[in-house]
Amino acid sequence: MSAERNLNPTEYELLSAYIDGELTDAERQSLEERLSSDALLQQELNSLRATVSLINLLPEMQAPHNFTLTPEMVTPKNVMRFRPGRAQRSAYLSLVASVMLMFFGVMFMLSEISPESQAGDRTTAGAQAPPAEPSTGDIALLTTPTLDVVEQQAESVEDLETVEEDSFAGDTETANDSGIFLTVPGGGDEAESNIFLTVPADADSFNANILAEDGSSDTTLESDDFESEEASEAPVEVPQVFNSDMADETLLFDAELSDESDDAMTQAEGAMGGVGFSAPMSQTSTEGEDDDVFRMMIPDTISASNGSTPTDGVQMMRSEVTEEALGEDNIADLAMAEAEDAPAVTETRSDTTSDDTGESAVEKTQSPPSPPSQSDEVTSLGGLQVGIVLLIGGVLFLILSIGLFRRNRS
Amino acid sequence: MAKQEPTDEILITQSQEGQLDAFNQLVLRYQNLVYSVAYRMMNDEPSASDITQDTFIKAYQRLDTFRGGNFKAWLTRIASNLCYDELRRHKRRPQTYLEDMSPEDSDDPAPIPSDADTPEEVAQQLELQQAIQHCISALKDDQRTVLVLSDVQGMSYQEIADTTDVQIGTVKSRLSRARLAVRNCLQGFSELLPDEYRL
Repeated sequence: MSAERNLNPTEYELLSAYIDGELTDAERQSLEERLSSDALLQQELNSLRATVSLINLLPEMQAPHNFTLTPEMVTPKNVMRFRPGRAQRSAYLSLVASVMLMFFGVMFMLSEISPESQAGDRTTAGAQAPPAEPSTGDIALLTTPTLDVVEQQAESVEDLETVEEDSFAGDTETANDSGIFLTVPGGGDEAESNIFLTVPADADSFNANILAEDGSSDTTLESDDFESEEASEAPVEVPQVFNSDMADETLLFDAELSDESDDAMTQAEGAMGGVGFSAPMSQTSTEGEDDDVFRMMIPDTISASNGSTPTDGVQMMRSEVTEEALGEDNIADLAMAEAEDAPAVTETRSDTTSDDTGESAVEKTQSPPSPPSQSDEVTSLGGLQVGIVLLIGGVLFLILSIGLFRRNRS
Repeated sequence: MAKQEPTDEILITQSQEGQLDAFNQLVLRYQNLVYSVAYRMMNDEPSASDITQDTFIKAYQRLDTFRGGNFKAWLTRIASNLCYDELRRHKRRPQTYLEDMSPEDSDDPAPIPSDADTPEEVAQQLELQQAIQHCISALKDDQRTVLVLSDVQGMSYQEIADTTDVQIGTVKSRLSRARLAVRNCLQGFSELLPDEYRL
């Protein structure tokens, strides 16, 4: 049985301190009592003493040369090696850079996260808000298509047929007066079809004009063609503005009202054959209520103007185009458009279906709550990325500064 | 009547006033001590020389922070700290084995033999010193520092604690483990050990 297995580290500490005379009187007396009766403890003590004596045999080393200092050694150049000079300045600079980077990173992230969440709250509140009081309608537009819309458009393009240019035979004058233009581009062979809907804001009633892109033909949708959710959704006759090949197209417009876009004419152009939606913003649509979201639905059959007043507080209006008006297989896609000078946005959405019967079938279009636009997401994502990058840079500078401080301290 | 050597306190005061010659007298007085500490810890002559020189430069630049007391301990603390930093920087673990050590290629300067030592005794003593140095070099950095300061430099526990900025209890435990490790290591060189030092 070896001694190492019998003595614990504490006993070795006592023996080591006993050799150096570093024990208290009580500890020394207790240990000496044990040493008198414990042969193993005494043996280990002797062994450690011999070890210390051997180490003490090591002579003091002779310096290989004198280490006296010269004035050059203690000049500021050499002082910089040890004094808080460059290293400390670098450490402070790194610390400042770290703080600044992390500050701006956090600010970037907060500035991007907050508006996004607020927008989400606005959208939700707007969707749940009751319809606003009827007034002359200003419609702010969201012109940026969402990913869903783009994908939908991409799918729709495949089925999209050319809208015959000459199929649009309507009165363009009425369209100009009313201010609401639903423009379906002509050029029958064109695969892409853009529909623009312009909503007047300064009229108690308005007409929606569906016209060919080149203006050669259009149709007018009166203001009473747009119904609120609470209003009757009884179909009205649709003027013959589309050719028979464009039947059963359901156009659903989701608009977000804004009173902040005075006199702003926003126009949305649908990408890839989508539907554009534009509206003059001369008047506020909802007084005291910003960003109320409504959907504009064109009835499946739209009659001539009946003098009814459009409702600015409309939450949902549906537009459905009869088989006579739209081509059988044509699908008009709506694009999300972004109003450049309007913080309030309107989402435009179009769900299109076709009716085999071709008899003014009404396609109910369901519009989910307006999602945030893709551009907003991209902007937020970019801001978050920038913020994260700045934070990472700040952390790296912080690590660098800590290292420099520690080195300088040593 | 021989001229009396100025005390450390006088030389320190003069050095603090900017008299480099006064400080150089302190250098000559303690350079062997500092070099020994550096060499025992680094086990490398060039490194020990660099650390010794840097220790005195640093000491001169920080003389204004010396508030009296044990100047020897203060110098040793600077040297040991520099050794710490150097060891951490290079993560060096000297791997010197007895078969690799010979008086011819050893960096360890030969001790000054006494007149009574025969060449054989000098050679044996040198081998023993190299073996001890090898065992010390194999220790962990913290243990080696405490062992060198205690058993080579003869510092008290309190001085070691002040030098290494650790508690006395830590000094005790580190020194105990270091001595036990060196004892076990030296048991492998029993043929070099004198009879009175049989472990």
